[in-house]
Amino acid sequence: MDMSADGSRPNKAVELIIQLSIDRVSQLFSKFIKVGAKISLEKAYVTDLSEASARINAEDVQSEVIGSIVDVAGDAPFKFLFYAEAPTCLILTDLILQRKVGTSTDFDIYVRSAMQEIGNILASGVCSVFAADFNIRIKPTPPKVAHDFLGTIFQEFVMETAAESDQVLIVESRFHVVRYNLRCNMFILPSPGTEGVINNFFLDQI
Amino acid sequence: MSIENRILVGVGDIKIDKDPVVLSTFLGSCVAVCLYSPSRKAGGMIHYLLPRAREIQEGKIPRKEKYADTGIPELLRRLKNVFNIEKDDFVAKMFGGANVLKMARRRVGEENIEAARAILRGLKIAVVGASTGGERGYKIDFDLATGKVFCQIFNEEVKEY
Repeated sequence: MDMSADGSRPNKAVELIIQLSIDRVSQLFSKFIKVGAKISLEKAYVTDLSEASARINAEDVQSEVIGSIVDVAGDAPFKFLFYAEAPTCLILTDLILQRKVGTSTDFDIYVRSAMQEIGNILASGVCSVFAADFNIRIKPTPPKVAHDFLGTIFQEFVMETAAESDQVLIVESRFHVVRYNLRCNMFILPSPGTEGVINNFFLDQI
Repeated sequence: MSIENRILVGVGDIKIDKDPVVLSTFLGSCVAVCLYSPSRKAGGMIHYLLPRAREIQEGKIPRKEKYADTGIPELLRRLKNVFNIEKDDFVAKMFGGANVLKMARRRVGEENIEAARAILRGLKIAVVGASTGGERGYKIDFDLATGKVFCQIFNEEVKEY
């Protein structure tokens, strides 16, 4: 895992929980869409959210995406975002509904529901790593799905955390569904204080 | 508009510059206020998150750019200091404040729009163009050569302000 992409590294305890979470999410995602998805990028870095949002906008200036945002509440809260470009989401919907690829053509109730379910399952996968492996109590809230500019969705994703803190830890991961050449993106944004909860858990175990 | 001259304004940030630069950003519930001096062809943009700093930053020194009440005066201060322009030379345009995630509990976008209007009124700076509210995101390009703002609401045509 690339831990030094933009800024300083998270500590070892956080690295471990991130690694386990991304592995779990990758397995769940492959199982859910019934096609293998490989992790094509995995990095965790501490960054300034203003710079991070400007960088995201620079990468995909015109990009239209569908995103699923999940707020995870509890002892170690974080925010979770899964997004992909709109055509990719249509194919993902067909894969999940086990119908012929190309059936979905618009951002309709099926696509919205499929994206909501992906967000739900993947965020729950991260929660299960925290809860089952580390005994940290957390609970996901229902996903919020939006179809909009990537820059707008990323802004909504980081807004609450950016209001509280300037420098934050971001976990960024990309999945590649090779068979259909689909690229999907995932971000985990721990709330201020979550790193401390994870550290304390590990210290308690020593 | 040339891509080489484009500067992206991130969440909770201020950028100021002059002709031939284009300042660009994407907005949801955040609001962007653009100040422009037609005589000097210089201007700046703030992309702020919340209407008031004191709500969550009590006792701390907030980063001014994140909030309307601290950020808009800061944008004006920087423009005056860097380009030596008087306040009366500026006109304002404002964009964003959408309810993209359709939140019923708290309408941050609306609060952000109201805050910008009140602050600009207090500073006696005229708002000469605006596109705010709704439930879809905004992409805006602020051309410092002309002061025009090209605003695209998601899935709509680009409009000029």
